[in-house]
Amino acid sequence: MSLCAASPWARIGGLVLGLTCALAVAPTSAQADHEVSYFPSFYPHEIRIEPLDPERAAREFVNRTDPLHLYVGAAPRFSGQIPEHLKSVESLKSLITVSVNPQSSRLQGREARCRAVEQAVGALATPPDVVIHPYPITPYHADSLSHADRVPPTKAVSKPADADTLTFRDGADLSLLSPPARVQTTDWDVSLDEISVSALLIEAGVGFNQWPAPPWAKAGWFQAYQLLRPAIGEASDREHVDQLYERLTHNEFRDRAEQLNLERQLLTALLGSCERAVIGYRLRQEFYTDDFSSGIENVAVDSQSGLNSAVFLRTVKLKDFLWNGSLRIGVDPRPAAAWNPIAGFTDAAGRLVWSIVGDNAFLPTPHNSRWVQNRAEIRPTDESGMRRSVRVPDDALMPQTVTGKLGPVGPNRGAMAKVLYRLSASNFSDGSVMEAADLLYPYALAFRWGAGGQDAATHDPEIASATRLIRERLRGVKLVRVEETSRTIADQTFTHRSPIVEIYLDNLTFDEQQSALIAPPWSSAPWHVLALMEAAVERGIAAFSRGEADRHQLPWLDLVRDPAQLKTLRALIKEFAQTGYRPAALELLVGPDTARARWQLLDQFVEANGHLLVTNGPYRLKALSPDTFVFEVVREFTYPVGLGTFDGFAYPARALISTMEREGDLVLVSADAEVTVKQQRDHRLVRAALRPDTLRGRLQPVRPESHYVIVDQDSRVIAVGSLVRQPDNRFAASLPTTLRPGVHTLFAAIFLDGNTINPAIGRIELANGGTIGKAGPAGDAKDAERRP
Amino acid sequence: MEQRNVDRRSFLNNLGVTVGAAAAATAIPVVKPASAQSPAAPKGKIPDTPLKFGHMTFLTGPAAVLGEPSLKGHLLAAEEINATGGILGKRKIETITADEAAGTDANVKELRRMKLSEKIDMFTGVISSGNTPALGPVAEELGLLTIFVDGCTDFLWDKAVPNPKFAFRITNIQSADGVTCAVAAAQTWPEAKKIAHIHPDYSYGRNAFDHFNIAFGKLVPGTQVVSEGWPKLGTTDFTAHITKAMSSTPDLIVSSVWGGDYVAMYKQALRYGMFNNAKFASTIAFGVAPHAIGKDHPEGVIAGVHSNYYFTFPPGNRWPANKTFVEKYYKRWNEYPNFQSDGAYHTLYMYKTAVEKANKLAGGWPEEEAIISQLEGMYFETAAGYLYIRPDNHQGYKDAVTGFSKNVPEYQFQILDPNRMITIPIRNITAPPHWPKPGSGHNDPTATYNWIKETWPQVT
Repeated sequence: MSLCAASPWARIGGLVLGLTCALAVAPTSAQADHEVSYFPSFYPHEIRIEPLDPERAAREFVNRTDPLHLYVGAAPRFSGQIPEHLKSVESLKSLITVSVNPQSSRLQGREARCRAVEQAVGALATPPDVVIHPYPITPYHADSLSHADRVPPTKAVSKPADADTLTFRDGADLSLLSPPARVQTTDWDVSLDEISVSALLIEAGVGFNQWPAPPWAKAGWFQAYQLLRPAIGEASDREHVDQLYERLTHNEFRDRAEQLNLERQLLTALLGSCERAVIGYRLRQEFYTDDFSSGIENVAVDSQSGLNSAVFLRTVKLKDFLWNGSLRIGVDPRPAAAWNPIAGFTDAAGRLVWSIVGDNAFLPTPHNSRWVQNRAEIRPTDESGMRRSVRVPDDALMPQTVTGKLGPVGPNRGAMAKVLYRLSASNFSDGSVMEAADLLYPYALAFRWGAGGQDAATHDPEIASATRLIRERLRGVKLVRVEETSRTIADQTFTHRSPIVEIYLDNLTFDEQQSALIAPPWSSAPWHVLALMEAAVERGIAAFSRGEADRHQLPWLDLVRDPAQLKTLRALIKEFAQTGYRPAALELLVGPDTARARWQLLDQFVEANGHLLVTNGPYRLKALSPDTFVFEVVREFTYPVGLGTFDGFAYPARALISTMEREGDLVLVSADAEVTVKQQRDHRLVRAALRPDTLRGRLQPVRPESHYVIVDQDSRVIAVGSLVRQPDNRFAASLPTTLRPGVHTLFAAIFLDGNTINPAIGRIELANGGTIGKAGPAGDAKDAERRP
Repeated sequence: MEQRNVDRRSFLNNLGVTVGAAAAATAIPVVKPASAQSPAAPKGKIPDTPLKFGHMTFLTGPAAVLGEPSLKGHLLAAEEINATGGILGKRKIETITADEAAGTDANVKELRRMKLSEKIDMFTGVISSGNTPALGPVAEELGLLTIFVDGCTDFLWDKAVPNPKFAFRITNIQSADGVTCAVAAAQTWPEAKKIAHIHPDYSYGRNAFDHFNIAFGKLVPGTQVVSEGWPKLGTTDFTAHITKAMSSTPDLIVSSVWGGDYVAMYKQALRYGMFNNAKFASTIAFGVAPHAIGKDHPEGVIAGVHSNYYFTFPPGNRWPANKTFVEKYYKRWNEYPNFQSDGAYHTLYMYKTAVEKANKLAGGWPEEEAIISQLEGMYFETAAGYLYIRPDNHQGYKDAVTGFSKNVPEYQFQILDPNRMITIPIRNITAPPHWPKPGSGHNDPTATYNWIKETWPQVT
C-alpha cells in the first residue's frame, strides 16, 4: 500500500531526487505489541496561542474549565497571592545600558565618562527582576566563565558619593533609578536605556524566521559588540573593535586561549572609551501551571528567550496526557509583526508561531550557546578537522549575485571548508513533496534580495543583513545522493528519504559544527511559497520587511492575517498555475509542469485553509481569530523528528562547586550536582555529590563538561582546558608547566549536560610556589537551592 | 472437532476465573524469591568479578513510559542484591543500559556489541514486540542467557525462536489480552450482544480484535459486531470513531487503544457521553505507569493491564510479595510500579534464585546450562502471583488479570479496584504445549486463537 502519490522528480546532472515519501506495507505477521517506538512530532496535539494582557493572564491561570498552561513574555499581574500551583522560570530579558551624552561638555574626557558610568551604576535602582551587573556578559551568556575575573561582585558595587550629581535623559524608566536621581530633557549627562536581547539580535540582523542565525548569536561578546559598538565615537576605536570582531567571526586565532583573549580584548575595546556601558540586566519571569492533574511538565527554558523557544515547544508535555492534549499559551504583547518567513515573525508572538510551524535545520540549545541538530545532521568528510582548502566540484551550484540564478560553479574553484549534511525531508503542509529546488531556493533568494545595494530593483536591507554570512561564505552546493531509511512502526514500515548535500564555504575553522551553521541547505517553506512572496514584493503588493514596508508605504507581507493581501496572492497563484511559473533562478531545476502542479496544490491549500502559511514543521495553523491562533500537530509518520527527541534539555542539571584546592601541579575541584528527579507527575530537586552514577529523572547519567581558564596578573588568559575526573570523583586541572612567575587565577566551572546558565564558578589564586589567598566562588552565581 | 454445549457459568468456573480480592493459589511447590529466603552459604569457590547485565529498554520516545519503569525495577533489584554482597554473596551486578528506541537493526547490533565487546553475562529488558523476534534468534546464536521483560508477541515462540535454549520471556503473551478482556466482559456483562470495536489500525489492534471476538463469541451466544473503528497510527481526533461506535447503539464497546492515544480518546469520549450509554472494556487502558491515568477517567469500566499486573492487587497483606515490592519500589522511586517494573525486578531475582539452586547442586559458579535448567519449569513467587516458566517454550505464565476502574481518596490518580479484580489462570486461556503453530495445519492468527476456536465449547 502506498501512502504517497507519485513524486514530482527533479533531475540534476542525471541524479533523480525525490526527497521524501513514505510507504506503508501491509502487515505480514503479528510482530508488534501495543506500544509504538516512534511518534512523529511533539507532545500536545493542539497548541492554542492567545494574546493576553498580564491581568487577564493571571485570571486565566485560575480558570477552572480551561486553565491557561503558560504565559510567555512577561509575568502575569496577580491581584493577590500567586496561586500555589504556579511555578516560574527565569531567563535573560534585557540589558540595561548607560550612554554618555556626546554633547555634554563636562563629559568629553574618558575619565569623566567612566566616572559618570560609575555614578550611573550607583544610581540604579534594583527592582526584584533587575540585577546590577556592570559588564556586558552575564551569567545567562555561555561565555561568562572566560570573563569571570572581570565582573565585580554585586556587593562590591557601591554608590559613589557624588552619584546624585549625575543627570539622566528624560524618558528613562524611572523605576530603574533611585529616587534622588535627576532627570532632564536637555543638557543631560547620560541616557539610561534598556534593550531586550531579542530586539538587540533583530538589530544585528538575526532572523527569528527562515534564515539561520549566526553561530555566535547567543554569545556575550557578539551581543556586546552589537550593543556597544554604535556608541563609539572615535573612528580609530571603531576600526579597532571591528578588527577584533572580524577576527573572531572569521576564526582568526590559533587556539582556544587566543580566542578567549580576542573576546576579552574586544570587550576591553568596547568598554574602553566609556561612551556606553552595560550596568545591569533584567530577568524575564514566566509562569506555568504545575498542577498535579492539569499542569505541564518537561520544561526546557532557554537562557535568553525563556519559554519562547523552539526546544521548549518540542519538550513541553501536559501532565494529564502521555502525549496529545491541548496546550493553552498566553503571550504578551499582542502580535504586531507580519507572518512571513522571509522577514517577518520578528516580535514575541511571531517568534512563538514560527517556532511551532517552522522547522529550522538547527535549533538553539536552551542552556548554552550551541545549536542542536533538528532537520540536518552533519556527516564527517575526508576533510573533517583539516585546515586546508578543498576543491569545489565543477558541477556544484552557486547563485549568481543579484539575479540569484543557480548555475554550475565551473572549473578550478576552491573553498576553505566542506560540510556534508544529511537532511531529513518531509512533505509540506500543502502536500507538496520536498525537492531539490526547495532546499536550494533560499540561496537564490538570499543573493537576489541581499546582494544588490539599496538602489537595486530587488533588495531588502533586512534580508541582506540576515543572509550576510551565507552570501559572504558560500562557495558551492552539491546534491550528492538521496538515502532511504526504513522505520518500522508496529507492523507498518515507513521509508524516509534523506538528501545528502555538500556545502562549500570560505569559513576557516576546526569546528565543523560552526561551519555547518553558516549556510545549511534547508528550507521550512517550499520554493513556490517563497517565489509567491517574491512576486508579491516585486509587483508592489507588499514588502518583505517592516523597514521596507515603512519606506515604500506598503503593507508588510503577511501570509495569514491580511485578507486584502490574501485575495491578491490568491489571484497570483491562479495566474501562476495557468502559466506554470517558476522563477528564473530555478529554471535548471524545475520544469513548467512541476511548477504548475505546485501552484495547483497551493491553490487547493489556500481554498481549504484560508491562509498561505505552508511549512514542513511539527504543527500547522488550523484556525485563526484575532484572539486565538490554533495549531494542530503533524502526526503523519512522514515527519521525521519524534516525541522525546529533545527531552534531555528539560530540567537541566547544575553543578555546584564545593571545594577547590591545589595539590602540586593539580587543582582539584569537588562538586555537587543539583538534579531534577521526576516522581509521578511532580518533580523534585535533589542535590547529591557529583559522581558518575548521579541519576536524573530519566535515568540517564549526568554528563559533566568541566572547563578551566587561567588568567595572569596582566589579565591575559594563559591557559584553558578541561578538567579530568579522578578516581575519587574530584575533577583535576593540570597546571601548565610554562606558568611564569607571578600570581595567576584559575577559574573553573562544571557544566552538567552542557548547562551553562548561571554557573557556579570556582576560583583559586595561584602563585608559582603554591596557593595564595582563599579559593571561593567567583562573580554572583547563585548557589542557593533552586526550584525546578 | 466435536463442539460441546455447556452453560457459561460452568465454563467460566472451569476456566478458573475468579473475581474479587483473593489471590489465586496453587498446590504446586513454589520458589520464593531469594530475597525472602535466608541466605545460605554458597558451595565452592565463587569469583568476585562483577556480573555484567545488559538492560535494553525505551529511554526515549513514546514507549519510555514503559521503559523507565522497567529500568527502575531492574535497578531496584540490582541495588538490593548488591547490598547483600551480590549473587552468591560475591558477584555484584553491573548494568549497561541501551535505548531500545534506536530501532530494531541498531538494537541487534547493540546486543552483539554488549555480548562481544562488553562481555555481558546476561541480557534483560526489551519492551517492543517488534524487537524480541529480532533479538531472540541473536541471543540464541550468541549463546547469551536472555530474559525478555516484555515484547510479548506470540510470534516470538510461534515462529522466531520455536525451540529456545537461551531465551526466556516472563510477560504473558499478547493473545491473552483479547481473551482476558473477553472473559472478563462475558463474566460481567453476559447480556451484551451488540459489540462495537475501536482498535488501533495495526497488528496489536487486530490481535486484540481477533482474540476478543473468538473468545467472547464462545462465551456469549448471539453476539454481533455492530461497529468497527480503526484509528490510524497517529490519530489525535477520535470523534469519528466515537460517534460511529455510539450510533451503532452497542451494548459494549471494546478498545485496545493505548497510552496517550487512549487518554485523548477517553477524554473526547467523555464529552460525547460514550461511557453513559454502553459498557466499556479495554485490553490495555491501565497498562502504563499508574499515575498516568487521571481521576476523570470513567469508573467501573474494564481497564486492562496487558493481562499482567497491577500494583493494587493482591491488596493489603494478602500477598506479601506484592505489598513488599510496592513499598520498596515506592520508597526508591516515589511512584508506583507497573507490570514492566514487576517483570524487570523479578527477572533478576529469578536469575539469582536459579544461580543459587544450581550452586547447591554442583558448587562454584554454575555453568550457563545449569542455570537454564533451573529456570526451566521454575515456579516463582512474584508480586503478580506465581510465575511458571514453561520448559518447552521458555515462556513465563502467570494468572492473567484485569479489573475495574475506581477513584479512591488514597491516590491522586485512578486505580483498579483491588476488590473487584478478575484473574484467570493463564494456562486455561493459552494454547497448550505443542499445539500447532500458524502455518502448521491452520492459518489462524495464533496458536491460541486456533486452540480456542477448536476446543472451547459454545456456551449456552
